[in-house]
Amino acid sequence: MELNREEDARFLVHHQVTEKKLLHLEKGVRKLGFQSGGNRILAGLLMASVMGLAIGLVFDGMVARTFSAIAVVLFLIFAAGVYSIFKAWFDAKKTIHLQYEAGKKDMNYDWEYRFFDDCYEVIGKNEASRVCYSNLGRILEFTGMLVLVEKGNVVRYFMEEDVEKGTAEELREFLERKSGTKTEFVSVR
Amino acid sequence: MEPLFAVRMTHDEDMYYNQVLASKQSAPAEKPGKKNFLSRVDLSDVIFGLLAFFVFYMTFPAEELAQRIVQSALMAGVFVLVLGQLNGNRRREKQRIAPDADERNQAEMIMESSGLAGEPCTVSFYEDSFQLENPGITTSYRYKGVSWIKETEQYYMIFWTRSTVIPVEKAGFYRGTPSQFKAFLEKKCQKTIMKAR
Repeated sequence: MELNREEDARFLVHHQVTEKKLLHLEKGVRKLGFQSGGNRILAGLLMASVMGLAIGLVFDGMVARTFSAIAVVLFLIFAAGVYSIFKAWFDAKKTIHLQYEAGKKDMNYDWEYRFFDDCYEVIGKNEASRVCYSNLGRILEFTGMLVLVEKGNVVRYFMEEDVEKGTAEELREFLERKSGTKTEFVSVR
Repeated sequence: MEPLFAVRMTHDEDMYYNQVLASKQSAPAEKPGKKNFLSRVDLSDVIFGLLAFFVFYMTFPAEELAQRIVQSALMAGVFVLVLGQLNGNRRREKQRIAPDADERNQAEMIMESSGLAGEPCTVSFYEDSFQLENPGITTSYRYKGVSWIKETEQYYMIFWTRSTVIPVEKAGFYRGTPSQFKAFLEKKCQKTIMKAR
């Protein structure tokens, strides 16, 4: 595949994969998933548990016992949910660390992104892709990180500070215009 | 430049199903010998049992503590046994009717989320690289970056990374043959192709 000339690119990005960036991406993806329902489920469980306990306190006898039991069970499920979120995060952290260390030996961590008028090119050590903007399904911004989700479940990402030609703001607007999608913002600490 | 081998395929359920099969690590062989009771106990059963015990303990009206504990423990035991039996029956029935249902479901999910269902794609193999062409995206790979290669009945699956797989359908060759291709790929990538199933 013949690549376009670098100097013709409207925007240029040099991105090096680091463990910090991988963790940032993981946090963003996690938060994005959680926003789509996880937080509502946990809040619902907690509220139902509190209501059950309140009913248990107001009434006496069998009714009180039943509602207290349900409230405790719901609270346990809530606690298990919170625990599983933390466990999943620590497991992901461990996996990212291991994968990053394992990938170090291949040194396949340097990427260049060239954005032209009709397509963009992604160049790595052993691979190069040319992507039409119509292939861009979603544009995400995880506080300082731009994430491009392409058809075929391909995710590309880089920090806004990695943009070398043009600015991150201009690039985001350019991508929105070219792909016809709006950027979704996710706050990541 | 003309490719040495070229394959035309469609993003269909079979392609993703074969990908799921090839992605699976072969399960370690189960050691023979008797299993003790504790190793057969499932953690979810224990959690269910404890929750059931707690609910029965809170709701049973018996005044005497020992009686309440025994009643609750017995009821929780029966509850877990019945639930386990029902789950086991359902799993066995599902396995009997469709042994590959889980893999098929997973394949369908991946295909739908990819947004490429029904789209054509081509893979062309040259002397020092190979190229995958999907609508709107072309990617060129060097052979030395290939991690491993697996073979199913219908496909060769070239694993670029753990999550990036390049499928090559054996029935889709319009340049070269699958048997010539296998030897070529093993030589170029310096890898042995492993059978997936």
